[in-house]
Amino acid sequence: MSRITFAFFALCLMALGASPASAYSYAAAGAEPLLDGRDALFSAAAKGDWSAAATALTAMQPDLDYLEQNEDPGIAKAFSDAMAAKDAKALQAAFTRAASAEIVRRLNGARDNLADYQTAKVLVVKAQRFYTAIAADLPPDSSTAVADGLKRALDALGNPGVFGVGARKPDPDAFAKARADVFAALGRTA
Amino acid sequence: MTDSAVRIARGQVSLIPVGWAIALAAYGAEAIWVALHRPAISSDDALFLLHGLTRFSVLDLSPQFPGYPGFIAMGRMMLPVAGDPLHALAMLTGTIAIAIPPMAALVAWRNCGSAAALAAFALALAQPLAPDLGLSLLTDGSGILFLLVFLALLPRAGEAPQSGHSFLAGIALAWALACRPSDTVLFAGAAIGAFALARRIAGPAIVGALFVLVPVVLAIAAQEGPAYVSEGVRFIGGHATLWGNTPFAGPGHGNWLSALATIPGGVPLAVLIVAAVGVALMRLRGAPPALAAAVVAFIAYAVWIVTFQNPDQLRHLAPLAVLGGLIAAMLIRRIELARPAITALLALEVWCLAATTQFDAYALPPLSAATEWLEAQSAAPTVATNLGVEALRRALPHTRVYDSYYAGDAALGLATAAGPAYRLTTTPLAARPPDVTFAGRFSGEPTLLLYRVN
Repeated sequence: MSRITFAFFALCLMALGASPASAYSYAAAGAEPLLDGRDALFSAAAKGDWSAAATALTAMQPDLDYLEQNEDPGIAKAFSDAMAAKDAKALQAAFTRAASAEIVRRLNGARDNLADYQTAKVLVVKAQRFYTAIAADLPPDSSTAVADGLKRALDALGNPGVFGVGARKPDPDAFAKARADVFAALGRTA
Repeated sequence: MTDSAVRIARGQVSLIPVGWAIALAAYGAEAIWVALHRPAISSDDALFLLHGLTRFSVLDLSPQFPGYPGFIAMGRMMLPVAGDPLHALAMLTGTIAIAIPPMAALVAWRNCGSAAALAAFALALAQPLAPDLGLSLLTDGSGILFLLVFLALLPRAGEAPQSGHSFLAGIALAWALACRPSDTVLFAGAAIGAFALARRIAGPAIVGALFVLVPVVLAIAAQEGPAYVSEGVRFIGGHATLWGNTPFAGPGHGNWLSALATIPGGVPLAVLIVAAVGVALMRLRGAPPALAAAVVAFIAYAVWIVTFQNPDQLRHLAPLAVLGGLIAAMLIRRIELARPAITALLALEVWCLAATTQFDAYALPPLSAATEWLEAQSAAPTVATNLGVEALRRALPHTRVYDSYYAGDAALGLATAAGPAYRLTTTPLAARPPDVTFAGRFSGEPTLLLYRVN
């Protein structure tokens, strides 16, 4: 029995040492530099500590570069302009824009992986995490529409069921409609 | 003195029937009081469990990690009876809470007789977190109840174990784990204590446990895939080092060790409790396996609480309150001071329960009351809170709700709000009274304070 106890505590310690979480959220695995660095960025901006804000932004830069090149040309300038003007509200707007681009990117990924339930689900859940981060900064009606669209997108993924019981196939049409509604609410084009 | 008083004083009349009459009357009153409450969401965790009753997906917070699959399965069984997920959740948690005192009494009666049964029943009924178990719509009570079922199925002291009972005991303990995986240490402690005194039950009990655990693990794997494991690692790491307020969290986070030091008399009380359970541990030779299981579970869980749990959530102490009462009751014949200790413990519990409970059965949880208040405002407000962010967002679609954990984001949102802006918090702001107070209904339910900040 002592070996079992030892193994249990060893597993707990391994879990703790493996990956310190860097953001408060109950959902979705994996590091997201934009989300993880957000609080440090906004806290620094709210205090007017623009040197600390620049440091926080550095950790986000690779992801912003990716968005600039692949999803939203001009996003890097939005951040740099806000930093240069030391404008916290503009910085918040730039973050909302970047998170919207991430939602678009993850939903497109889910659409391309609709046949792979687990991958598609993680991508939609990641989109939900980005939505959660900006939910209060979107206009209330848009925010509600995005939340509803993401929920319908999850439902459209189907379900593998438990040992096949209760299995549902993905519904590409319903997913496309949900995705289009989210894009419209965010003011984005496919 | 009258004749009957003289006979009572001489110990010629048993007070047990009188005690049972009083305890059952209180039990009926508590059951009715719990049933009268209007089901209402009291936290985001309750909201996530509600989602799990219609769509199980841990990554999607339906419910949150670790998923509580046994609890969700029972909630789904309640759905056809209750009609909707909220009533199913309320019916399940209320029923479980009400089942705990009789189950504690059954454990004590099987092992230690009728006086112990009465003491266990009364102590489980009066423990101050009983209303929290029944009304918070969370899973805490389910783990405790099935742990008690496990204890009730263990053989008595000196009794030859029956394979069938041991097999069922394994099923009960595994079901407790399926309902409440976050209490693994509690259940592991119970198993170690039971197996140490009755080794022959281990085989059938482990087979019984596997009958539950293998399908549950396979079902989770089928639903969630490998992402469940990485979510688990992230959640456990985050809980321990960040949002869980444990000793492993960085500076600025409270934890149980520092909380005990700040409670008046907290450290002596903790030492007293540990010493009392230590005394129980010394008296385990020849004890019923159920008592050994309860004592080892209590100690293991107490260590777990201090090192890995959040002092903000008093409900995590509920297993200690129930097991502590059960241990005291089961020691009634083994320790001379047990009877006065039980009387003192019961008096302390009743006093705590009375001092911390709003007896108004129509009172709403603070989060629901705050939601109603905000909804009634003519101009859509902006709110920052660190309790119930998701519940507020769902209930108030036209309100901007910021998560106070992201302090910078929330501060910017409140400062630039077009209309009235509020902070909804459990922490009093210095030097000013709250604009509105939404009082917690019982011990373990935090009072929410609303401050207008803009």
